[in-house]
Amino acid sequence: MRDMMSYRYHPFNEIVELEGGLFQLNMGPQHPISGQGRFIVITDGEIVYSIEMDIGYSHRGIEKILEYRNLMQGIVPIERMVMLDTSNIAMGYVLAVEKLYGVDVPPRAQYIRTIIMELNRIISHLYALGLYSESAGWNPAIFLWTTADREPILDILEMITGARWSYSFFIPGGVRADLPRGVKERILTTLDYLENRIRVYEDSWIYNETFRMRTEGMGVLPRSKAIEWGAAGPNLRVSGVPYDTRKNEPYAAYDELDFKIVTHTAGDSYYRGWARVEEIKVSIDIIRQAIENIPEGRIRVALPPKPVQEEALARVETGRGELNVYMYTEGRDKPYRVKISPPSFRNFYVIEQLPKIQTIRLADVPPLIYSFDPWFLDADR
Amino acid sequence: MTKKNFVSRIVTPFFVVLKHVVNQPVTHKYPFERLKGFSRTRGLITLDMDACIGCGACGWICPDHAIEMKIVESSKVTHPAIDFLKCSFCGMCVEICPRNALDMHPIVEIAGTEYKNLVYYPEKLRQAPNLKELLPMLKYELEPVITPSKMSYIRKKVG
Amino acid sequence: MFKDIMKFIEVNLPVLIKILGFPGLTFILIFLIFAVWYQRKYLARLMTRMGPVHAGKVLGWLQLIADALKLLTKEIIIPRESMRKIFVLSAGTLSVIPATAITLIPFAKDFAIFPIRGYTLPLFLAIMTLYPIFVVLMGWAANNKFTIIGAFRSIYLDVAGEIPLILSTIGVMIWAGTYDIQDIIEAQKSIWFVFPQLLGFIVFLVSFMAMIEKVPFDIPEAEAELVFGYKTEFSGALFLDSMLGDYVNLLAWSLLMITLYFGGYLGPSITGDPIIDGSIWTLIKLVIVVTMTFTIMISYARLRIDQAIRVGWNYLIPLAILNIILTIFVKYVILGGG
Repeated sequence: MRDMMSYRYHPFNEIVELEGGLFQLNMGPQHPISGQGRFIVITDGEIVYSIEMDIGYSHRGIEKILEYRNLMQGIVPIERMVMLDTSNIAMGYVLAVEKLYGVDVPPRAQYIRTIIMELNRIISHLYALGLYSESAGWNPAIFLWTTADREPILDILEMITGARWSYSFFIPGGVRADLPRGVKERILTTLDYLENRIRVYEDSWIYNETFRMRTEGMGVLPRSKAIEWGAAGPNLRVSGVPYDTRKNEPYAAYDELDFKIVTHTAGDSYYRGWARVEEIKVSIDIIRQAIENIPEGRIRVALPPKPVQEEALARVETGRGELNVYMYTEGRDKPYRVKISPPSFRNFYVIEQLPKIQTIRLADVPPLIYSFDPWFLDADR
Repeated sequence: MTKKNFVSRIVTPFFVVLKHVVNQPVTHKYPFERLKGFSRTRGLITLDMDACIGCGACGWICPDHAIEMKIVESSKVTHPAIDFLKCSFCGMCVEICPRNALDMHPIVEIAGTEYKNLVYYPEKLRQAPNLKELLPMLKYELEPVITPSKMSYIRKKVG
Repeated sequence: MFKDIMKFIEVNLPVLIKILGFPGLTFILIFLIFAVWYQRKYLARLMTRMGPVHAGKVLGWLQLIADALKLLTKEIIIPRESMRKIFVLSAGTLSVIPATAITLIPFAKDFAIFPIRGYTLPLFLAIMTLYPIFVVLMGWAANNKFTIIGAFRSIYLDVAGEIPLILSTIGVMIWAGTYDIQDIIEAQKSIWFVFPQLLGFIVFLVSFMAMIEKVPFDIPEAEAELVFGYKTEFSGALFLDSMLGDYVNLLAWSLLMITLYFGGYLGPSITGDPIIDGSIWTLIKLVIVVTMTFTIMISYARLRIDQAIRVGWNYLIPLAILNIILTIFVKYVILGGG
């Protein structure tokens, strides 16, 4: 395999012939099914010998940008890191700053944060389902239905925060505004509508025979390998590991709410899709509980003038897995170093290792990759 | 309907898809139909030059360094000029202003053809005395949602 | 010389009208335009969006003409190492085969372009069997390793799909007791054949989706390593040619389905004239079958090539043979032959 390393410097042709009857396919950034990344697939026409992910096309240097921004100003660049799931990532940053200053956030703010984060999780999973079904070869019916179903949720978020995806709403010390009047009924109506739509997706997508034929038994991730390679998110939970940061290290009102983790023992691609639909149902449950039990009170406290610690580590559960934010300030108002460890980066490693323990056909490569829900913006930061 | 049944797994998707014919399309024919927004939607920022004291706090807090204080002939203090190409409409300048001189409106169609037209000098940021005067620019239909909190971006103008 | 031409036209005028007008060339081209427009609007409706609405107000029918004009003005790129003459000519030959087969189907009583009686159903099936040859020709002429692989995958699919299809038509032929298409239609006066031949209809439906190469059997078009299978290297006007071939194939097999199972041109009379009546009912049934095809197209995922062939050989062929045995049993033993 050592002479195959020379392929990296080959110009970007679509198909390159190597020796031994193998081809190297570049499913590059201009491909109907790739995102903003490149998959380098070495195959002999039918069986895939190696998949390699080439990322870095959307690297924007978020960690460096954050070194030039105040701890208050930093909430704006960090939510441009991942555009689908912004409030979960903003929560990671805000949690780290609150640990630095040692503030106690009022409970009403925690409940508002939980509601917005769970709404974001529903949006992110709906979009992932759409991309997954499109990669398995559907005419984009499911993709367009899920994109249309995100619109009522985006309307609610615009009602509360003022924007559709770049909320700038979580701030160290609380949230920036209170819930407007009339949003509770709107959320409950939208949740009823979503439950009907989940039934439609189950009938036509999950319990669809052709989809099962395409994805069942393909790309099985065994439990020991999932832990050893570091999978994240629903991919890990479907392989039999009940790990969820919302239960292990609860933050932001998750310790007062009652919900279950979605796990399964078969680790194949079909159940990774199933798990996301089940997680949408769990999120709807959480939002219902939070809306009923939301306490009164303040929504924001002021930060103390001096920080208590110099470094802080925060862990949150985004739609794709666990995200860590490590922050080191030297006691000043701008951080010296912010390190973000995103979940998609770890999932890419799992995708690269899978052809070594399983036979994967060439036609299975797009559904396999999209069952892990890779989001290149997440991995590139 | 039983989902584990083999026959229904093949036949049910067909009827579920067929039922979508009667759904309303979600297409929004944008330039020919008005957009739908909310009263909290973050958009254009306007300035009340009489209330502004020229402290420069908005320029200090802006995360995108989009605000610069500029000299205006008719006034004794400097006033902010906002570069809308850099602005990310986060609203921190509106919140921090100690005299509530900056205000945010749900106008999102701020397009121009030249770069210098999008840097709003202080005269251009002048606040309209009345929200109704902004209505021809307003392509949004507002949803009436009243916010009880003091920290909101929109102050409803009565008049 | 000019007088000879005029005399020729005058003698053969009815046949010429049928060949050039309805149900001939003009009908096929209008069907192409209608099918593309209908596909875009109907599929858009199922996906909760509208299709083209801007060009040609409300219905967006001018959009197709705009797209066709755009394709006609693009440069036709012929790869240097291909067989040039065959490459250019083979793009349009795909549509000749189904168009020849359409001449055998009656749109009303005694109103086919080629009104022979006798063995028209086997003749129809025999003509349509020539289709894969031209698929290989298109893929081969481009001299691209991956279009050839795509063309061969299309042939695997065609073989796995055509055999159950022919077997299910044998069931219809036994039940009706005749080889002639018009007699089969006339024999459906009491009941359409979809009800007594339900098993055969299911087999026919699945192999119909395989023959016209739409989802779930979309394999040669979108799953070969390159973008479009054996039709990849065609651009500009040649792309329009290959699209025409696709839709004429759809037209031919849909017409076969409605003549064998849904009663062809039969139906209660609207106007008095039998020819216009039959044509109207054929067109209505054609639109319904095309709608059903598009709905199936959007409800399922795309199968892998080995799964598709497994479906064809393991499930469809035994079911078709079972259908034939049941038909013989019911018709000759229970109902006493005839």
